[in-house]
Amino acid sequence: MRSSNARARSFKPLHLFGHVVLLTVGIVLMYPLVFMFLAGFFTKQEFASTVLGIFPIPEEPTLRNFISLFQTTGDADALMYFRNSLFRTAYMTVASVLTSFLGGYVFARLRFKGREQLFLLLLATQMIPTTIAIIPTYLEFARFPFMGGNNVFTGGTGILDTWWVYLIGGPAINIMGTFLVKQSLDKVPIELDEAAKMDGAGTTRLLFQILFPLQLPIIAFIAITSGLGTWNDFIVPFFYTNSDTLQTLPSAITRLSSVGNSPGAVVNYPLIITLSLGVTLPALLIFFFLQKYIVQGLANTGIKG
Amino acid sequence: MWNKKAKWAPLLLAIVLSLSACSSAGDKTPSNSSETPKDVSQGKPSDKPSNENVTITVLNEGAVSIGVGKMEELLPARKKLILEDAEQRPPVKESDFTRTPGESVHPGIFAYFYQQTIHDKLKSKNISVTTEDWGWGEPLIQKETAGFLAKNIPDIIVGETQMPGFAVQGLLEPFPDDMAAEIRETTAAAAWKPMEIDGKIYGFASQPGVNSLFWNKKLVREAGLDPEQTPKDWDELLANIQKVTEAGKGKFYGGGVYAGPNAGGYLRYGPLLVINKGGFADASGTPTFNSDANVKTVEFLRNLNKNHPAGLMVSQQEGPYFDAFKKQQTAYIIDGPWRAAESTSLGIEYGMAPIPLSAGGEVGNITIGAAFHAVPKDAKHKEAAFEYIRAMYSDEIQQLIADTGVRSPVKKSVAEAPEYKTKHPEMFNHYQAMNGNVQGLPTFQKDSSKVWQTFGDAVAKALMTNGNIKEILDGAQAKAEAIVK
Repeated sequence: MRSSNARARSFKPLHLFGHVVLLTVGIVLMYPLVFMFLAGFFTKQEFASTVLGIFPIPEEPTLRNFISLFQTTGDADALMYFRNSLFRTAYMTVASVLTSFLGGYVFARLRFKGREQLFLLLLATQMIPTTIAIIPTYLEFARFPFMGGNNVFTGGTGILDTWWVYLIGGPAINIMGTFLVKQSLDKVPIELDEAAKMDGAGTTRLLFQILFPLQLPIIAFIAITSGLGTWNDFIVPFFYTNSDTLQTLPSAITRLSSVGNSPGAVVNYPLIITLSLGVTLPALLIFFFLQKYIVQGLANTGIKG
Repeated sequence: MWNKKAKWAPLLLAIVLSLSACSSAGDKTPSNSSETPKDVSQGKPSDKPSNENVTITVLNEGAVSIGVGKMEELLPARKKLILEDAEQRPPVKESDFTRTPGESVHPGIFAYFYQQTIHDKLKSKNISVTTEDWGWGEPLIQKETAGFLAKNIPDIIVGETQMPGFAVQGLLEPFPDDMAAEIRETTAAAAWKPMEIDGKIYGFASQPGVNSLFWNKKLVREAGLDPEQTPKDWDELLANIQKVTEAGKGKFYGGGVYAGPNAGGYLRYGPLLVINKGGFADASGTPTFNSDANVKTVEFLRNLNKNHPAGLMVSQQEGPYFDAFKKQQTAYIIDGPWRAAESTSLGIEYGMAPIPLSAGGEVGNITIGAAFHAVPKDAKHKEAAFEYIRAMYSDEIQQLIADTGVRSPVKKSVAEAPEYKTKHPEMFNHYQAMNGNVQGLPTFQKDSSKVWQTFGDAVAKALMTNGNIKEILDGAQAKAEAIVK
């Protein structure tokens, strides 16, 4: 009786309307994934010559494109690109968390001349669109001292087309992460640091045994966003590397697409779409399972209404 | 305090040393080849093999690409892939890899044969090839620009509309005089004319295209027209297109030409401007958008636009326009020669002919799909790079292009041979079109990309609205003049 009353109370037309809207939006958002999955069963000839319906079903389905996702050789060495993506993402995630945490600590806790100005300067760099920085960054990598045959700054190729692009050039400083950690640490009383020091904790112990655990929600947020950003990034691998062995999934997909832009070459859309599905699904699953940390992380920084 | 800081010094030193050590590893170190930087403009092809092995880096172009890396490693790997490729139509057999010049080549093996031929020719001169893929279109232009600035550029670069601009900026090496003379004498103008600046040639395309008119015979037949008849002039073409649209009743359309505000559009409707004695610019690079001839051509384009699904003719992306033809939703299209082979592979019964002329018009065209190869000023192995370009117009490569039948060869001795005309009559017509009044897209005096955008947007506006075409083009002309001033 009680529960049926509760059900009667909870049933409101507005709720129903809300659910219908959410369901509709959900279907609209899920549709591209369904389309991509179905398109993966097409051969490139059938895909090119057929007028596709809303839910395309091939006459001669093939698993070839899905098999390509797990192949080490083929039109696209997907397994190698996947490994590269995974390594780069893992490295960038760890590096990003470390630089953000240490950078945030420096700006939140240490007092030095020009601190505010330096922090503002770092934040200002966030205003520069990535595409504008492509050519200067290319030059920076090409002029990297003593690398790639460079006689100090010139004469060679610098760190272009080497793993150093990912190892050195990649992490730099995660400005947004630094900002978020600083915001979060500002809310932690300085007395905690002083108490720890009085108990004999050094800086390393203070950082990693006391402050780091307190920052876990924001650290998780930085790790997730940085990881997803790196996983989906095609600009760095595409512009600063050339070798096939250095390509990640997004940059390899861009290359496959550009073959189609060269007149006369036939572009294999079903393979490209299947590889794109391979890029999208892990990112989607990570976001799906870890979204609560994103909310917690943002709430912890005080960035809310 | 000092001690604490000092203990980091060895670690720092170790990092610096290890980074420096790693930097010298691998293939990334520039070759110390003693190739002398001679005055290459006087250079001559060397038949004698050089004693020293030189490796040149060549940018890939999709139509002849077999992958990225060292050519001698790519060739066997590609052969294996082709044999395993179940989607090849018809399937490729081992015996297809044995070739006799003059006999048909499976289009799926063309790129393999092309690279193998160049590899063999260069190997005899101790030149090895490594390929890189820098993409195509805008990403390629950005990466090439960065490469020029950093003086980190392959020995041979490739590109289409951006290449004359690079030559004008002095970033490319002019071809040696003897080589330029040989190219002028033995090949069709479309292969080099757009890359000729101040009497010097800066780039060469081994299999460029010019635009032709293609039509889907099945759809034309369904409209009650004779699919074997080529439209004589623009009026007949438009009348045919209208009949197909009427017969299609919304299921298929007459079509015509892609006119989006981008290079893909300019390259395809540009020939109509040229045919109608208009054009984009005068000889000095000054825009000539609002000429009477251009106004009439845009009027023609507006009529064609009515025979397309809404928005298709001027869509930002060119892909959907060509997809419509491939999916048999449009009957007529103006495009490069590859449309023939692609239609065959998709089972489309097609017709191909030179673009009809307007009343009082003259024959003219614009190169399309011309992957111009050029040697940058900062290339490390210029002489070896020119050997690569010599191989591109060799009899062997040109015969291969002729035998594949997807595009026309440019070498006169191959294309004008009687057997080629008999075996590939459509491609022979295409070759003839490459010898006439063929132009590339011009480079404007200043801010070329902005000027192009001005014209592209004006044409799109003229097609999508009922506004006065003359006034729209006048507006574009005024804007363009202000930009180049």
